[in-house]
Amino acid sequence: MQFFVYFTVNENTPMKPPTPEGMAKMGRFMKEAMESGMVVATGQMPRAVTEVTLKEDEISVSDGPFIEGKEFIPGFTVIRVNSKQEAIDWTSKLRECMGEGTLKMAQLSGTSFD
Amino acid sequence: MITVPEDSLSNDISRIYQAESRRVLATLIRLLGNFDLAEEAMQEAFIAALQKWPGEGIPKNPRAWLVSAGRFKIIDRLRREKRGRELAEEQAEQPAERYAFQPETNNVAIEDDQLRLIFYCCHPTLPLDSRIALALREVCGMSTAEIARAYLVQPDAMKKRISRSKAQLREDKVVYEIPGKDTLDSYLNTVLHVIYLIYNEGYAATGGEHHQRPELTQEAIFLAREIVRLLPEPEALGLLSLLLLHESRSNARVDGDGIPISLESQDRSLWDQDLIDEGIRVLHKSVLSGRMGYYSLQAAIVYVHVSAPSAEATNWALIVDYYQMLEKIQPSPFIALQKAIATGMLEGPETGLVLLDALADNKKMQNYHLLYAAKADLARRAGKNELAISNYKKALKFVSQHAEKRYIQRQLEKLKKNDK
Repeated sequence: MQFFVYFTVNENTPMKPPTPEGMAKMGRFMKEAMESGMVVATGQMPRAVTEVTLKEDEISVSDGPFIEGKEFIPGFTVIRVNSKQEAIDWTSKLRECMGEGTLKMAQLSGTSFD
Repeated sequence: MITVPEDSLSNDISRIYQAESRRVLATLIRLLGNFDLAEEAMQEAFIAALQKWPGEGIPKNPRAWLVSAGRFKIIDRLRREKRGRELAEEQAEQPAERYAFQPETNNVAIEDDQLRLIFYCCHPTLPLDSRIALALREVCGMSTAEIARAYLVQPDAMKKRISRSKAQLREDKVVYEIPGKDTLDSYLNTVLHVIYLIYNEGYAATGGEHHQRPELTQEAIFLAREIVRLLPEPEALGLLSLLLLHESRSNARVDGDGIPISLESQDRSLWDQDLIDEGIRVLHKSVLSGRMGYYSLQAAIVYVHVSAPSAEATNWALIVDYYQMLEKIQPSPFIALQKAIATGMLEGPETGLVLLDALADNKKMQNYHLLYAAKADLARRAGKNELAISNYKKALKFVSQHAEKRYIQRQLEKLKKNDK
């Protein structure tokens, strides 16, 4: 099963970057995860999105709007694990590298996520 | 048009030359399809500016004005010259929409030209050394003599190498464009390397009067941002972060006389917190990828430095760790030098000196002034003033940059005073 692990920021809780020590731990932790093959994808949702809309048989494409507040995802990782508990353990370790704060995880469902 | 008082005008023009000449050139290469014509057009454009701007004032968009003026001058001259007639017709016949150029509005297209130029210079059809040399010449406007010095070759050889590269790009009909995402990957390392060198040249020029050349550091940061926009790969992010974190200290790195100030003596309140914050955010993204490389690791090292309240309170153990990781992915005597210095700060100057002595066996290092400066610094910390003095003297022998030379001289004077 795969889990989408991510964090969000908004105006009330601006992102606090890890300390240099935390950053080093995180670097090692993520490198190990990459090398073990459990990381499916990693990245961020950019603030700028492009909208593709169908209206009256016509597709229109527009850049923007900017994603704000709670919707903004500065970083995410998709991991492949054998149980929810394994995902919780991994996510806890990542959070310990990052310092105080919240990480969210959600199980992805669908045929390609098994 | 803005009118400016006569006396400040020449200053303004020279400032505009510093800031805009390489961008104007990048666009002219696209419009004229030829390095040498573009170079000539750029010079002509600035001559025209010197003639016209005192009367007419500086145009609102000097860059666009210069591009138009340069292009016009060259086409005009080619038309007048018999041997250039065909070329002129070719130029004049370029379909207008292909080069749709609205002088006052089209800054976006012009900014992309900087990227086109760097990708053009870094094209894989050229040997690696040539790519770097050509990019330093064309993107950041270093003279062939400066590049030759940085690469320890004769100026004539460098001149030949650069003109051969230009000819080859023409022969191979390399298109002046930003490559698509598929091919971008194969370019990325060279492009990042060139941007890194441009920044280094601006951060600590290899020769000449000034230690810092802000027009080059700004250019490099601009280019790094653009690369991240095109391809937010971990190493592109790492490079941008590294440059931002270095840049955050630019106000504190030299004193009023332009002499460099060592990290531990810098006034940390002068460091630019906004740049630091941005650099850390960018680094964070790179670290989350789990694929830290040469630039991300260096950025992480600078992060340790900029977050320390003082030199003594720096986490040197972490810095040594990072240098070890760097050595694994890209071993070089220069990384080894930095690691030795950091180890000296962590375990004591005596240990550092032993490591530096081991490095001095490497031929590449024997003419490198920073090796002796590092030895002198650790010797001073160990209270071995004589050893420090003799090493500062050796460093003086090999240093080529004026401000750095004065820095070493100053350290030497301080030591001699203490000795008495």
